[in-house]
Amino acid sequence: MNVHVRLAEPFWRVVGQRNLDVELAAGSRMADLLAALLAQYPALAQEFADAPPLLFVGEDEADEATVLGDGRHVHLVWPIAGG
Amino acid sequence: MSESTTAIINLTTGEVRVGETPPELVRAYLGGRGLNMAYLRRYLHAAGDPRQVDPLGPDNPLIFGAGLLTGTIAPNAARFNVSAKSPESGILGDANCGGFFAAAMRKAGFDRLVILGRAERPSLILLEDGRVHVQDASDLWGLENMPAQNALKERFGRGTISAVIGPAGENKVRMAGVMTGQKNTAGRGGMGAVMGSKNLKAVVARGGKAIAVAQKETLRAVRIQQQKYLKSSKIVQVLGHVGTPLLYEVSNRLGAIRTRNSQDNYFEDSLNAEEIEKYSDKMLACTSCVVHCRHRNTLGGEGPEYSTIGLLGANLGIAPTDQVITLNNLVNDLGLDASSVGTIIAWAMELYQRGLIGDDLTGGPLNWGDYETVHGLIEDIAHRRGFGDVLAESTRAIRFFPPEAQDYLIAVKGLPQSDPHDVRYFKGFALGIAVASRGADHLRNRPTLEVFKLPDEVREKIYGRPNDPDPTGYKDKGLIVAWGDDIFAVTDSLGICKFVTHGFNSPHLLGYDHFCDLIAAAAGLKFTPESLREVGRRALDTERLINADFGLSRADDTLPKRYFDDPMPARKTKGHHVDREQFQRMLDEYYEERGWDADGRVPTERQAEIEGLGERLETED
Ligand code: SF4
Repeated sequence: MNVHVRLAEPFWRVVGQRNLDVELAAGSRMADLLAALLAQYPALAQEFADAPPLLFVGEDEADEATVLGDGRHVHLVWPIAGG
Repeated sequence: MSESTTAIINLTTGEVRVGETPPELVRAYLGGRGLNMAYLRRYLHAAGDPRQVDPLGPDNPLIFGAGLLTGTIAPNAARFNVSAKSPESGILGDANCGGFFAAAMRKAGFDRLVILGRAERPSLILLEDGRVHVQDASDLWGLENMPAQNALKERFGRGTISAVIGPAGENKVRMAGVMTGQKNTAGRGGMGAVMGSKNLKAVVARGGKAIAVAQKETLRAVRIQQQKYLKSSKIVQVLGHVGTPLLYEVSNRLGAIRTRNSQDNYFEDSLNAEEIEKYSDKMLACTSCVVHCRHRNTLGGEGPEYSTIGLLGANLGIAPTDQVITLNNLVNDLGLDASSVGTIIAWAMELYQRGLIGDDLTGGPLNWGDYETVHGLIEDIAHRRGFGDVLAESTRAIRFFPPEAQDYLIAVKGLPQSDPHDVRYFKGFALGIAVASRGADHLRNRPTLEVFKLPDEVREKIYGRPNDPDPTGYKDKGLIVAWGDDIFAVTDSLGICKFVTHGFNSPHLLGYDHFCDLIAAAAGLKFTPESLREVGRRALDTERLINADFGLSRADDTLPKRYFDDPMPARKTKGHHVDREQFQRMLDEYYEERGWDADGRVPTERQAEIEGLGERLETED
């Protein structure tokens, strides 16, 4: 299955693009997606260590156990809310 | 200790007195916001009953105060505060501003100006090599922000740096700011209108006296060390790339962007940082900044910031990126506070949508997303034309509207909310804007660390005792808001930018320890983290006393009705609102943390200490 991933600031900078399509096995969870991203873009490991992203699937907040479906939109957002 | 110089300038009589700021006051308040508050209270009392002082009359003192470290090589030490009784809220008015003016003011020989009276004709104040000259500025009256600053450079030379008002200030628009550079604005509370009411177009600084520093080499070493530390911080790196627009996508994803006067809580992706970046040709900085967070845009201005994007974009239903940037440039050209303008126009739009006001008052349709109308309306506000003259009154425009209009106003204590974050979700944010001394404002105390999932032990270390990590709950919010109050008051008194302040978007920035090192090296004053926090407490107490002088009490520490009564409509934040009873409990806890009584009053012994300090300040009487 294919999921559409959007990386917000600053994650996209080490990847080089803000929007990605990632192929995953059917029934994959968010943890599998994160592992796939880290395998392809190892520099993301430091980014995630600095600030673990807020994870969203569609409109809903997700966690590593969230099951993903084909065609779903995943959004990785930096946890920040200043002003 | 380095000497601090204050000039008392009476524009009615032309009298100028220059003298040393009493050292014990510098020790107690540092400078910037803190010291401004001591002077403001003293001069308001000297004028009689502070309640009777007309904010736009000659008795209102207008105070420009540079931070204790401003203009030195301390990181991000660029800032000054402009303070007076606010013509917008009618209470404490205080606005903080970056850029290059404050450093120039200090180099010209002045840490603080107390401006009294009213000039007979349009005037400017020239600060030069420790001297003050009041000069005619009739030729500048009517000029917008940059044309006025450029004319001053022509007149006084290229090295001149000015703080000016645009047409909005001249016309005493209650949300007019004081401008320096293209977009740096002492924006909050209508300080530009106070300047206009004094017939004062500009304060101009010229001259290059080095700012006295206690231990030059030590300061240099501390700067190098702190710069290295700051540059390793992720937030510093990211702000240097994209500036504050980065916040929009995060808030929007959560469903926490004030949209259409907070009827909605999310908006279009066209205002994401990546879209704004397409119009950015350079990142700029203020004096001694290590971050460089400011965009120069390709549409002829600087910015926009997150606040402007949210409040002139989502809050007005305007999505096209170029239109929002153009509106940002327009408010800067005219010398307006974007936060108040975006909030007040959105308020009017909702009243129009609900049929509470009609074409007879507005002069025509006032619909969400109507860029052309908004553009014209902003110009009309600045020039007080037609319906713009009504909105130029900011929250006081309520007198032109039916009473239920109050229910849709996003303001606290008469000041429109400063930032685009819908605070119904993070309860610490809600408490913060409710208790902020100048009215609804995030830059007095916002507990931004709430969004991080910090380990309990880290939270305990920061805030001093174990605390509940749930940002949507009500527990321990008094603790974290009071903590933010104090450190931000210290930052504002030092003249340092909040983007490098511990607790504002990161726990890895400059805290009390770092500030102690900077103060010792730059000003030769010894503080401990505890005694420095005490300065913040004193500033907060002084502000509370000023507002008490205006008749404010616990009942004024509240929120817009919508934040209590209307649940957020969508996304992750859906269903959240602020419970009235729980809010009162947060207030109780907050007052306790502050050491105030259950009605929010400063204890008498602390009041006596502040009054004793105030008496050391000379006034004209
Ligand atoms: S971080 Fe931004 S606002 Fe702060 S001093 Fe630097 S450029 Fe100015």
